[in-house]
Order: sequence, then C-alpha cells, then structure tokens
Amino acid sequence: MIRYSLRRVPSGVLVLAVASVLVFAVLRLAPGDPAVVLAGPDAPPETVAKVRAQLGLSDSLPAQYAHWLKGLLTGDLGHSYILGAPIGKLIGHGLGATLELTLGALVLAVLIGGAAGIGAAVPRNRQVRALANGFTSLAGAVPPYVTGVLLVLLFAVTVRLLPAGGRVPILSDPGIGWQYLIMPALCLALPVAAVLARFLAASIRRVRDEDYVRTAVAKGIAPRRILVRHVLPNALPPVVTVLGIQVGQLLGGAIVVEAIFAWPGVGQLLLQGVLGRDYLLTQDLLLLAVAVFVVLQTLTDLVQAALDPRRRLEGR
Amino acid sequence: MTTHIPRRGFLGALGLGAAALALPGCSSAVDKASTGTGGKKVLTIVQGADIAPATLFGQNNPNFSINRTVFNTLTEYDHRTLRPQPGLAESWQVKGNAVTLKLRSDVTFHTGRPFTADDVLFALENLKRPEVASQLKHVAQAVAKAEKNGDHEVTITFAHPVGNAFDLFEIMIIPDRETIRELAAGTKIIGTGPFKVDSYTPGTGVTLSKNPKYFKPVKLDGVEIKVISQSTSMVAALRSGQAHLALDLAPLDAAGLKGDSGFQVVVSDANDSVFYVGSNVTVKPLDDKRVRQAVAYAVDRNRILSQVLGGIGKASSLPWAPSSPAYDAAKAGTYSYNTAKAKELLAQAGASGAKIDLFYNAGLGTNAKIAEIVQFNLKEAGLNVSAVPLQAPDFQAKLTGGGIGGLFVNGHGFGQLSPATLVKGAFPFNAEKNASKFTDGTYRSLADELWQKPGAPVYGKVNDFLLDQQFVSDLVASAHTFTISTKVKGLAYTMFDYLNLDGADLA
Amino acid sequence: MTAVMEAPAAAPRRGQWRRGFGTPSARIGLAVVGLMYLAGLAAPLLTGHDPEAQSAHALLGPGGGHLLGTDEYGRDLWARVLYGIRVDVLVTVVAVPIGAVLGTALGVLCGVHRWVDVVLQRAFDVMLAFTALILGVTVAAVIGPGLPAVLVTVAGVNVPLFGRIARDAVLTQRDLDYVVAARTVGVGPVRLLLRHILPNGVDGLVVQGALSLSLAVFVEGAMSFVGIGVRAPAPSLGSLLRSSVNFLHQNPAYAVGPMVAVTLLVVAFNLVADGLGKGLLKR
Repeated sequence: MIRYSLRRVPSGVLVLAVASVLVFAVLRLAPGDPAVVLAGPDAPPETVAKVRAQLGLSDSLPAQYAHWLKGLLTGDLGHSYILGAPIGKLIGHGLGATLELTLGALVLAVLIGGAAGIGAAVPRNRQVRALANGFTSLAGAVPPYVTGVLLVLLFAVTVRLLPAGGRVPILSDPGIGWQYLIMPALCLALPVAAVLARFLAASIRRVRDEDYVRTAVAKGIAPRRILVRHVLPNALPPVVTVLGIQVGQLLGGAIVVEAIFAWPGVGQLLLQGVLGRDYLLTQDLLLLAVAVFVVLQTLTDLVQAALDPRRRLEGR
Repeated sequence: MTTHIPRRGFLGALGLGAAALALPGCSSAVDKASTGTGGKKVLTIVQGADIAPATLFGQNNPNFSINRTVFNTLTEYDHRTLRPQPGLAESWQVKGNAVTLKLRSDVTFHTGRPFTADDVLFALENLKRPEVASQLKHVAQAVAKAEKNGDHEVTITFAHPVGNAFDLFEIMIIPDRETIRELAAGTKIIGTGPFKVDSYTPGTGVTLSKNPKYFKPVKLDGVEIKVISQSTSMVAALRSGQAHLALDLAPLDAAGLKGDSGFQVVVSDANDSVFYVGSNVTVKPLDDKRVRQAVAYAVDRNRILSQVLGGIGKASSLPWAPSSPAYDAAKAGTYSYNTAKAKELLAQAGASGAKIDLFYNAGLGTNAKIAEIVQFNLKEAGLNVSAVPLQAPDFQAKLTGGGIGGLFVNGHGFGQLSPATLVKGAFPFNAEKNASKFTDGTYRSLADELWQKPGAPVYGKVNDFLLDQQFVSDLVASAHTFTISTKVKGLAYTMFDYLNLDGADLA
Repeated sequence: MTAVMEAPAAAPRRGQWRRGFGTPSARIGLAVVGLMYLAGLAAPLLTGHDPEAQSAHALLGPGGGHLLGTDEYGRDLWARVLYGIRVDVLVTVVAVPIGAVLGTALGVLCGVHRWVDVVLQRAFDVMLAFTALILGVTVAAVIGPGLPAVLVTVAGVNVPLFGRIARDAVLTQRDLDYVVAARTVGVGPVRLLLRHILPNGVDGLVVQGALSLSLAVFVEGAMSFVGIGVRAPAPSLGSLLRSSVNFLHQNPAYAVGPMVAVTLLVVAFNLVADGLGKGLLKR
C-alpha cells in the first residue's frame, strides 16, 4: 500500500507541474495587455510602459514563471493586476462562497442520489424502479444551465418563492441563506446525484447476489433489516470513491451555476479574470482547479487501493 | 428474489426533501422587508463592478460610490446654474489666469491629520504624474505655478486662459498624501469625506462608517457597497430589501422598476453617458466622410433608445448633454434613421457593399447590445459589416493605441460641463490624439479656441465641424441612473455623477 | 493459418452493430437526433424569418407569426432556435471527429514503445486534469471567445478520452494469440493495426463517440452560456438561454425553445450511448 502511494503521489505532482507550465505559457500567448486596462482609458504610452514595469510584465518569461512558482510555493499568490488586491484574499473570499455551494450540492447529491439509487434497485414495485431510473437518466443528462433556468423560471418568476440570484452566507443568516443556496446547489447536485444513484443501484444489485444476503433472506429476516444491516454497508464503499471523482468535477460545474445565480464564488472570479485578462488571477485559479482535481483523483485512487488490493498491482 | 423496502419508506424519503423546502417558510428571502442592522442606519449600495482605487483621479463609473463619499473635491457645480459651489474651498477669486482658493480650516483626514494647502498642491502634482490617469489631466498640466499663501489658501496660475478650471476642481479628489501609494493598491483609502473606509474586500465590496469629525452633520451611520455583477441580481437585492440603492442597472431592468411604487429610478440630470459609433478615418472606406455620414444616417437611434436603453435618454447627433452651453436642439436632430439616404451616400462614395469591421467591448453589456443593432442597421444600408467583440483589455488597448481597424461602438462622457473638457480630455474627441486617428489642423485650432475663449460663436463652429466630419457619430445621449428604494431620502450627486451622501438618510 | 486465428471480425460484428443500434433507447435517441439535425439543416424551409433580422417588435409572446415570440431585438425566436441547432451540428460533426481521430492516433502510439506510452499516459493525465469547462475557459482566454474556441475545446476534451480507450485496446489486443500469430506470419505493423487490433477495440470507441457527441452539445451550451462561446448576433442554444434569463419576466417563452432543444439533443445522444453500450459492450 505504501509503495503504491509512493508511486501515485509523484505522478500527481508531475501532472501539476506540467499543468502549471501550460497554464502559464498559454495565458501569455493571449492578446490584450493588463497594463493598458490598469493605466486607464486615456493613458499615453509612457504611462502604460511604467505600469507594465510596475507589474513585472517586462521581465523575461522564464523569470516571470519562476517568480510565480516561488510565490505559489511560499503562499504568496501575488496581486491581482486589475483589482489590485492580494489574490490570496480574493480567492479566499470566493472560495468561501464556492465551498458553501459545493458542500450544499454534495449534501443534496448524497440525499437525492441515495434515494434514487435505492429507489432504482430496491423496491419490488416496477413503476417505482422505473421512476427512479428515469429520474436518474434525466438528472444525469440535463445540463445544469438548463436546470438552472428552469428553476428560476418556476420558483423565482412564475411562483415568486425564492430569489433568482445572489447570496446571503448561510452561516451569517441560515434562515435566509438557505433560500439563496437551494436552487444553485440543486443545479450542481443533480448530475452528481445521477452518477451516485447509478453506481449505488449497481452496487446494491451486486451485493444482493452475495451468499450471505441470500442466506439472510432464506432465514426470513425482514427485508428492511437486510437492506440496512447487510446490503447497504457493503454496497456503499465503492460508491464513496465515485463521489471523490465527482467532487473534482464540481468546480468546473460551479462556473456555470455561479454565472446563472450570480453566486460570488471562484467561478465568477475566474471568468472575471479571463475576460479582464488578469494573468496572475487566472493562472492561480486555473491551477487551483487543476490541483483540486488532481488531489481528489489521487486520494480517490488511494482509497480505492486501500479497499481493493488488486488495484495496487495494475496501473503501471 | 428481490429485497425491498416498503414503497411507503421510499416515497417517504422523497417527501422529506419536499418538506425541507417548505418548512422554514417563516421568513422569505423574496418578501423580506428592509431592516436596519441593529438599529443603525446603514445604506446598502449595489453596483455591477468593483471600485478601482487606482483610477479615482478621473471619472470611472465603479468609483461613483466612493469618489465623493470618502473624499471631497474643492468645488461642486450647481446642477441648474452650473455655477461652482463651495466644497473644500470656501471661496475663490479668479484674476486673469490665476485662481486663488480659500480652504476650509475645519477639515481633517480620516487619519486625524488636518487638511491644509499642501494637500491641494500635492493633489495637483499627483495628477501630473504619468501613471495617474484623468480626463482633466490637461488642465493640471496647464498649471504654470501653484503656491500656498498660508495653511489655508492656494493660488493656481495657468499658463494660458483655461475655460474648464472648475471642471478640474470638481473632478480632483483630495487624497491623503501620506498614504497615496496604498491608495493606488487599495490597501488604505484615506480621504476627508463623510464616510471612512472600514474594510475593502476586492471583488466583493466596501464597508464605510460615518466620519464623526466631518465638517457637516451626517445622518447615516454607515454605507455598505456590494459588488453584484449581474443586473438582474441587483434587482433581486433591491426587491428583497437587501439593498437600498443600485448604481447603473441595465437600462431595461431600471425601466422595469419604474412602475414599482417601492422604488424610484433617479436619472442623472448630468446626462453624461453618450453612446457613439466611431470611425478609424485611416481605414478604407471610412476615410471618405460621406461613408461616415452614411453610417450616421443608417443607425436607428430610436430603436437603440427603446430596446437597449429602456427609453432613458435622447437620440442625438451631438456629443453634448442638453444642459451644455454648446447643445443645439436643432442640430442634434441632423442625423436620423434613413436607410435610403445612407445607401445614396454610400453609392456616391463608391462604397456600397464594402467590408467593414465593427469593434466593441464585449465586457460592457450595453455597448454589446448597441453594437448588435448598429451592425444590423449597417447591413440594411448595404455595408458588409462583421462584428468583432473584443474583451475589455484588448478593446481598450486597441482604442488607445489607435489600432481599431474600422468602426467601433463605445460610450463617452464629458458632454455636460465645459465643452473644452470634451475636445481636450475625452479620448474619442481629443484633438491632439483620438481613437479615430482624426488629425486636422482646423479641429485642433477650434479645440484650443474652445478651451481658451469659450462662447457661442465657437460652439456653433465646433458643432458644424463635428456634424460634417462624423469621425464620431453620436447616437443617444443617455444618463447614469441611481435606482433607489423609496426609503432613501436626501440623495444627491455631483455633475460627474459621484454620489453625495452628506445629507442622505434612511426612513 | 491466419484465417483461423483471425480476430472475430466482420460477420459477427455486423450482428453486434445491429444489436447496438437496435436497442429501443438507441433507436429513440437516433430518431430524436435525426429529427433535430434535420430541423436545423432545413431551417430555411421551416421558418420564413431571418434569424438575425431585427424589428421594432421586441419581446412579443408566442403567436402572431412568431411561433415562440421574439427576443429583445425583435428577432424571431423559432428561427433562432432552428439556426442555433446548426452550431451543434457543426460542433458534433467537426470537432468531435477531430478530437476522436487525434486521440485514437495518440492512443495507438502508446503501443509503439514503453517510453512513448509513459509520456503519452502522463500527457493524457494532464489533459484530463483540465475538466471540460476549465479547458474551455483556458482556450477562450488564449484565442478569445467564439465558435473557434468551442471547436478547439470540444476537440481537446475528446483527445484524452479516446486516447485512453485506444491505448487500452491496443495494449490488451497486442498480446493476444491471434495478433502474436499474425505477427509471426509476417503481417506488417500498419496492416496489423488497421486490420486486426483497432477493429477489436472499436466498440469502446464507438460508445465513447456517442457520449462525446452529448458532451459536445453540453460544452457548446455551457461555453456560450457563460459568455465565452458563440458570439452575437449568431444564434446558439447556449447564448439564447443566457440572454433569456434577463427577460424571463417579460417573455417566459423565450427560455423554452433553447431549453427543450438542448435537453433533447443531450438526452438523445445519451440514449444512443446507453443503447450502444448495452448492445456492444455487454458480453
């Protein structure tokens, strides 16, 4: 296990290193000049040159990359060119919002995915199973931006029940905060719930065929007790690892959902950075997104390996 | 054999989710009435973009909420008479090219340091620095000598007659010279204004609290500025009572709130938000002024007014706000939607079917929408127009670098005050160097005449010149808006649309 | 000898194909996609309106010559939805195959040498670490928002997906008896690859293809929705949906067209993938 971990972790680091070079190089190819924006609409060329020097944009590319990397490793993320503020602070603030959104989505995904997974595999009634299956297919396929607009149309425009956008931090005012959170979180949660449901249903079906479950059934133990005591505990672990991979995808989904609901998270910050040509901010955020994905992926791999020794041997 | 839980259990689990939605229905975010926080009167402002402390010295829309609330300026125009009124300067005397200003002696910066004549001299010097941008920089640069006579008086002598010195005094905030570097970075924002900055979180907002040492009584306890990038969400914040004032809602959203009794859309009487199509006159076929005139005829200004600007503003072929001394109602109607006339002019110039690019800043929603209409109208007139959306930095870079290879849709201000400020400071019209690459001896001398000897004769000449040349084709003179809850009382703003909350209150 | 050891190629395969495309979900999916694409391609026949023609009649509700009403510039929404489908036709027909071919080629290269395999595997890892929309944002930052950015993103997303499947197919098939036998009788590497190895890995690639088409529609919508995809005035389902958000109060029907069209396309491609998966991959 330790040997397996030692092999997986460096490859994650390697991916991150290559990604960092890519992210850095690729954004320098982009047209547009942050110095011009910062210098203001009517600035003469001398002003622009001066601003560019102040930003460190006149250094050589390798020097800029080295400087950036050093900053990242020492926790100094630099300043946003456009907003003028420390990026660490900016991201910290947006991350709070995005974390609230993704955690909310995760809770909903587990609840909905759990219910739909059980509903697709357990009930004897065929219609209930079909309903759960249909829901799963639909939730997995309909893009969050469609769900989002639909929710706004239904609950903010037709029936004015919930606010169409914005955020009140749930920790500062839970009674109001949840009303802002529920629609975006649901949007983000549905595709994840669908994947969870599908894996859970498959996992339950597999476990149900195991001998000990058949024995329990033969002994006449109540079906609900079998489900809770025997089937679920054994069906859940593989599903948890699927959840890990899905969470890695949430950040990408958050970009769209935050845009629909004007949720002030890192997704909005990223779009702002890209459109404002805010190199450092964009670089840091893209790398953050990649890093979250890689770390979760690696963790998931390790958890999976811990659960299933066969995996340690493959993947060379 | 399938294990199963009773259907009741499964449906129950589904029902639980539905119940969770309905349960805490005691307070709804939608109907929430506005409540002051802890009995304090805190005005909450929402705006679409974050403040930009580095650009506080010129007019930059996101700063409207802090320019005049955290800082003060020397003088402030009366909106009706356009005569300067006291600000940090109590009184003044103009003698030839020199202005002597008597300053208030009871003013302190938020740090506690008293405000003196040195701070005014510093502000002037600061404005001349190359990295500081301001549309009134040319006036600061025309200062030949600035000196103090004691702690509370300064004399500013210009190198030549200047018609817009008070435009400078109106736009120039007086910053704390000890924290000027931190100001540019946004880490310390220190002024003399009625509110001081408690905290600034870039990208999110600013928290202001009452400055107890301000030289006038202030009614509000604080101001909360929140950045909400989507206009519809700003509306939601207003409706939910989470905000009392929204700066520059998307015009259609503002129009949608007009009929609502709980809100009032205050349309700034400065009318200094003018939208135009510019032409790079070095690009064929735009080098022919008949083609530029054709563009001016081709655009349906009234449809832009109704479909994009929600009826806020006035179709106009002139750059001036109606309040400007140079405004001429008859000439403002020179160009109106006339596709046939446009086609005819294009045919004369041999430019029918010519290929032209139309550039715009995709980061500005209103501009992008206007560009869509302009593009369609120009196609109607028989030009082969492709729209080129540029991201904000790219557009700005090309605009200032003169690298826009065709037509461009943009907005300009500075039509509301001294006409000289437009032709000397606003980049689309700047006679020395402008976005259209329009260089012309006649125009340059007209601009100087306007700056040094303003008056009706030169206004007429400038108008005729601009209408004929059409390197900038003005479309609609619109205005900045402040959408307020009716709870807000005593709202005021300067002629540069800087919010003035000296007398503001919450009912 | 070769004939005996030939991979289970042509004949049984055809049956599998029939089984794959014959499943009810694949049939329904294909029918829906076919109808939608036909509607997109035959747009000029289905509407008399120019999707970009503006008028003074903005934000009309459905009816009165406008099936879905008009948008904020008085353009016909039905026409815009139909022409918007064309963008997705383009993205699925151009970008997905480019990504698929590129990915498959790289995946096959993995079989050439252990080191090539290691390098390409890591390259795929890096590419996969950029999830679809993160890649879209990166591409848009470099080449600017627009249809080209969408095409590049969709192609890019598919490279590692196809690459991995092709690699696994090549590496597993390489050591199977029939391949070893073919090699010993002197079948050249190119012929070996094209005639023997790829046909046997093709099932996975085909199922991935269907999933990728669904992903392509999804990515186009998402990118246009957040403002880095197809640009005005050209209609696209994602940008239509985005602009509808601002006018839901005035014309709720604005959102309905693009919502239904995107959903149908994505769900239909998923159905095809499901059906193919059941028919081809289940042994």
